[in-house]
Amino acid sequence: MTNSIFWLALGVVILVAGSRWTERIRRRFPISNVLGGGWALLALGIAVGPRGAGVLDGERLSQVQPILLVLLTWSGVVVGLQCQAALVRAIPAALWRWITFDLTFSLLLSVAAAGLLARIWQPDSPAAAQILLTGIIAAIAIGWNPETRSLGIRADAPAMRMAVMVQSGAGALAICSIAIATLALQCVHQDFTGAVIFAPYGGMVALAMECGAVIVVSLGAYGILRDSREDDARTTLIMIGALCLLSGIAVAFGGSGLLTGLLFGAMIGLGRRRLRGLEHLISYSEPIVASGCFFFAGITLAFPGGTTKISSVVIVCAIALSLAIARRVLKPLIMNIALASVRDSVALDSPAARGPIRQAPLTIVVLLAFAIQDSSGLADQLLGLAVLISLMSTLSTFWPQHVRSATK
Amino acid sequence: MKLRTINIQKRKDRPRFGATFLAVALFCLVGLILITRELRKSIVDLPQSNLSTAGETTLLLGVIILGSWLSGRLIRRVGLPPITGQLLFGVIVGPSFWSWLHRPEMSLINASQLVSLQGPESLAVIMIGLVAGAEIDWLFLRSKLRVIVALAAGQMILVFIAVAFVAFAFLDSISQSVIVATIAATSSSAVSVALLREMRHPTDFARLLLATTVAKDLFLVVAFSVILFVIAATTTTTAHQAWYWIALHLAGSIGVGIALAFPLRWALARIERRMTAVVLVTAIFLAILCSTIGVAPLITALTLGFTARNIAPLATASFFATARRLFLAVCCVFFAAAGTHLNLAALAANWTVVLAISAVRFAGIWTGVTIAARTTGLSPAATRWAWAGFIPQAGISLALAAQIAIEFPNQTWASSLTTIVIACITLNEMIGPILMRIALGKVPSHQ
Repeated sequence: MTNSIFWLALGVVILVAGSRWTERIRRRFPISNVLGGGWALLALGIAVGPRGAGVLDGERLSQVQPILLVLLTWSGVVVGLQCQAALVRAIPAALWRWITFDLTFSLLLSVAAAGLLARIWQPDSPAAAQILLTGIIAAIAIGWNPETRSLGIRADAPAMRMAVMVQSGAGALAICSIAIATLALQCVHQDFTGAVIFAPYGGMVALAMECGAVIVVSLGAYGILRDSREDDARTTLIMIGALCLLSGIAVAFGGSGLLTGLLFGAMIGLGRRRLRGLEHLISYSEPIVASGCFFFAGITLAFPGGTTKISSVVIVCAIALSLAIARRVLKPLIMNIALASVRDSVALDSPAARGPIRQAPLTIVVLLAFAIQDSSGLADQLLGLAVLISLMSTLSTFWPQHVRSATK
Repeated sequence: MKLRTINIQKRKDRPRFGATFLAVALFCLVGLILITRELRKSIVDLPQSNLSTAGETTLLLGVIILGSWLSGRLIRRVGLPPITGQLLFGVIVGPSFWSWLHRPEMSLINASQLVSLQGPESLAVIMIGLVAGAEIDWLFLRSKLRVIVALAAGQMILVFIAVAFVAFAFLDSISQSVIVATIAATSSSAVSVALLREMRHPTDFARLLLATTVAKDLFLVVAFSVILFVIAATTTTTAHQAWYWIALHLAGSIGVGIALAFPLRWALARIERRMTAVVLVTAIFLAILCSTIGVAPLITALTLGFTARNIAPLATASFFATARRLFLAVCCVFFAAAGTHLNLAALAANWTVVLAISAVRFAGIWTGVTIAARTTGLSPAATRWAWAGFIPQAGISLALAAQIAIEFPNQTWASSLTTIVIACITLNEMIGPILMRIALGKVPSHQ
């Protein structure tokens, strides 16, 4: 019966999330645009998960895990579909520079942070665990939230150019983030004894197999989708089937589906013909997939040291706050350096320029993919930390602006 | 010139993938799964996942959805309905066919893996019920009530009497003959709605067949429950199970379906977005609710779909449009899964009884429906072909067959009777959709 109550509660949340009342509240309070949607389901996930009321744990949790796998693969497809030849060709030199700078700085900082974190957190961790940690921290650090509308709209050309650059940069860096994190996950894994080992050979073989499978599935799916015209039912069927298949194949080779989804999306996106039916389906389902991933993230996450001791809560919040402040300082700095040459044509003082401060929601999905494969509990804690950083970095985009406008 | 333009347009509209593409795609799909499994087994250094069970479920679901769709498209090339292709795909990848050939290791899905598909299967049943219920319009039902009653009653009476006589000749037991005859009178709402949705513009004739099938099946579930109760009362000491079954499966199923329609209408009137999530959550909730309180999922979903659609056609329009969009995937899962459950060994072992019962059932349906159609004034084409819509059997028939073993757990005759009944359903499930598809093609859209 608890199962029924749980689904009823989830149904009510979805109904409320899609209702006219929520729409009215959103229009009235713009902050709910930023904190609404997925965050409500994340809170629900925490409430019903094993660390909350425990409605969804053990056997019941394993029953819904196939849904999680499909959602992860779907997230990968959403990111991969951005790899359209026309879009890649349209990226200006300044944006390439910005992407390279962000990627390089984030990777360097991740290596340093992973070393530091491993010393503080798990002093006896082997080198393999540090490689994995670097990959995961890089996934947290690289990129930013592509959404700019909630930050405020300025209609002049330089501001709009800035907004487009923020969105395109976020898309490109999301691909890098997934690639780095899943590469680290694929090469470093736990063996039968539970020890973390660095096995690049096995990882690369698995990766090659996943790529082979993705090529076969995407060629077939592209062939069918190309001729499906605007047939929604057929597009939905092919996509659901392909996603199930790809997530199953990814798991068979030790992956999570995120990378296979990304490759599949990229293969479909790079095709000559635009698949409008698929684009419609993806844009229609994007909030559902995001909400689903956030819900599962809520079920999975854990806070380092637990939430019972006040001292550990304070320490964790302090770490998250310091990392959010680091984002607040470093991301605009990187942006200003990278875009210095195009300062006249791009509005660096527009509301959209604050976009890079916010952590990408995709980070939570990447960490979720890591968490479902890690049985040590470290990934669950990193996920909890990422959620806190995400929340704080989102809030940090607002207050200095408000202080400045009040001073003026 | 105009004709040429039309021809070019037609050529453009025609899908480019032909039989070769479909066959190659199907071959690649099965090959991909076999290679994946072989590599996984042979290379030891590969990373392991904690979610291997969940991964296996999604893999099988992907194979079933894509494979059965490809098979359906392929079989359509030779003029047969896609459902037949989907069923055949299920038979070929399932364990029953290969066990019958004494090569169980060759099956793509083994018996233990079938268990992991129960969740998607029960969701598919709910979705079929919702869509089937929503296809029946109250005004249409009222205007055709006389025809529906005549068609249902005509075939039920004749099939029941004829099959009961033949079954008695083979089984030598009145109670067993009555059980077989009652199940033989059922048809398949799932096949009817799948073939109806396959048509670009569903005809009145297709809707008439669906409405008659639903009405007939609802009545037969009641009749079957009463019959089981009477037999249980005369052969066993306790009769509580049958009363409980009757109360829950009928009043409960219909009551829950009607009761849920009102909150659904209320909610749908206030929802603008995320309809796919709403449809899926409704189906999941309904599946869990039915298994928790013990009501029949198909009947509950049918009643819910029918009530919600007729009390609030505008508010529920978007909901049912989304359900129809997902229906193709649902059919692929349902019919391929049904194919994996088909018991070919039972069919081969009891072929004389099965053939005799099926032939008599066929004759009974043909005679009963033709007489009823003539007396109610259906068009000549509809009169000639209406019988073909009632040959298919699937979900409800199988559920009733499974109920025999549940009601009489310690009786040896119950298991052998279940085998015979399932073998009959297997035969009707294979040939029924083909005949129904021919019938829908033969009767013009205005009749």
